[in-house]
Amino acid sequence: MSTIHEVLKISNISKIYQAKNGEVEALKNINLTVNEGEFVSIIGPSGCGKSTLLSIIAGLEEKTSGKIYINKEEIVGVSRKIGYMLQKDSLLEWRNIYQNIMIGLEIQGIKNKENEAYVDELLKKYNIYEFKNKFPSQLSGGMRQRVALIRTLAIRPQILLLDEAFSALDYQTRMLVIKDVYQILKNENKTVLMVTHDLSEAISMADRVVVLSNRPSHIKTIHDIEFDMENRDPMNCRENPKFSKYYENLWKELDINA
Amino acid sequence: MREKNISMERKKYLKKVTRNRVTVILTQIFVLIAFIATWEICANANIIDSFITSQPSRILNTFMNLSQNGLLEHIGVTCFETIIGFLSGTVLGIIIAIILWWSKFLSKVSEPFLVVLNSLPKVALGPVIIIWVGAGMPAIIVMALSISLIVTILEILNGFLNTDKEKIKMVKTFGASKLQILTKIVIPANISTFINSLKVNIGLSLVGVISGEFLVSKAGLGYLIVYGGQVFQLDLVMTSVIILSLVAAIMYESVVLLEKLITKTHIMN
Ligand SMILES: Nc1ncnc2c1ncn2[C@@H]1O[C@H](COP(=O)(O)OP(=O)(O)OP(=O)(O)O)[C@@H](O)[C@H]1O
Ligand SMILES: [Mg+2]
Repeated sequence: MSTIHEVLKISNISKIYQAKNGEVEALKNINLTVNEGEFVSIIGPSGCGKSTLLSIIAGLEEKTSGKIYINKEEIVGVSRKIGYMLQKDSLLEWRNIYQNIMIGLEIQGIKNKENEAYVDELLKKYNIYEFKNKFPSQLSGGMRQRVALIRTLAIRPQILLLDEAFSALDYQTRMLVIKDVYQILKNENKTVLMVTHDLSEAISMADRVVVLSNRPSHIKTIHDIEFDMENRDPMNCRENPKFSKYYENLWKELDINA
Repeated sequence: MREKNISMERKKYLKKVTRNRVTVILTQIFVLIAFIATWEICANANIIDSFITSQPSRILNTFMNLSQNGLLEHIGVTCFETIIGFLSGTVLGIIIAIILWWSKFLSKVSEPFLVVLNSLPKVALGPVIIIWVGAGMPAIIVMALSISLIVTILEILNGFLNTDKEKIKMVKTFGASKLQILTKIVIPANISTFINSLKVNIGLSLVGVISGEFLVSKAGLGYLIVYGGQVFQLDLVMTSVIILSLVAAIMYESVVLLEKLITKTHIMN
């Protein structure tokens, strides 16, 4: 990260859901800029609009107003520069692991030699190659989530959105997968926006933590997370004295909201 | 698990499983033989009137003369009508279900009509169908079609609409079009729905064909049953009924076989 390069810009995003029993004002004037290679966690009270925000960035949900820019260009709808990883791995049980990973490339019609080679490289680098002919039901939960990540990376997104991507895993597996995913994302130099309800998870991975308020949600505060460690990873930074400090601050921040 | 040294418990357990299965099959065979024997003996001893009930030996006789009394041809006609009705009902049903899945508007509009048509006993349409398409094989096929079509549409549409939303969302994150959602997720996720509706349809088509044959035909097992009843030839009626149940069983089993074949190639495990 020699020169700071702005990758994602969220400008004045608002969202009002129209439902049968009235309007739900979910987001109000959200502004956020994310730089290349940065890891940003988003936390907030439950139901405040975190998933809504990611879905809008991913182009799955219409925004009521505001604009989204990637590399300073406005995007409308689903952008190929964005990969979105959901809570459920949603692996297709009728496809083997390799075919599951290829689905994004198939859909975007870019299943060519070059991309296949890239997928092979990912498979080998992240120890999935030997499982590639297995079927999802033969894999453990942690392994499945890792496959889901590779499936998202296969289309070479510049920005990755994670929505509670690890919350379905049990504690032990979650710790391992988080460490794993963190390493992979850093290796591939991805810019990440992650929603989680787990404060430790948010702090342990992030360069910045964004705190959203209650509905209608706006950005309450943004905390810079800095550990001054050589080889920081989501495991070892938890032992850093600063960690509990951050935790306490964020906890208070959320508490005031509730 | 290809273990060499199986434990004693395991051996015992496997033996018990096999023994249970054999006992069930033997009992089934015994019940069948006992029923046939009682029927035959009672008929011979004049305890029951074999003129009304027929009797196994006479049924066997009729069956043996299959090729002479034209039974074979009747079986062929019924099978043909059933398969055509079954195939067209299934294919049309799937196509219409896809259209209704595609357009929420059409599906909303057609909903009450489908519900009413579904609860209507289709046999009641018999006379109308005969007038519209003429008395003969086409009427019988239309009858079979009308019985299976609506159920197929409802069944498959229901399966489509219940496809895992998360999977659909997953492909949407890659920018999937509606056609891609259909071909990559909705259809493959509903293979078991298709097979279930095949299973139901094979039975329904037979019902349609037989009731159609009761009404109009000059050939087929349904025709034989009606004809045999009218001329008081219970041997013929009974033989036809037995053959009919065999035909139904064979058709059902071929769908089951198809299911095994598809699951083997389609989904491991
Ligand atoms: N399609 C919709 N129609 C109407 N209201 C909706 C719709 N989707 C979400 N909402 C409402 O918008 C608000 C924000 O929802 P969202 O799922 O984004 O919250 P969240 O912060 O992700 O919640 P959680 O912590 O439970 O994951 C909620 O109050 C929700 O009820
Ligand atoms: Mg959410």
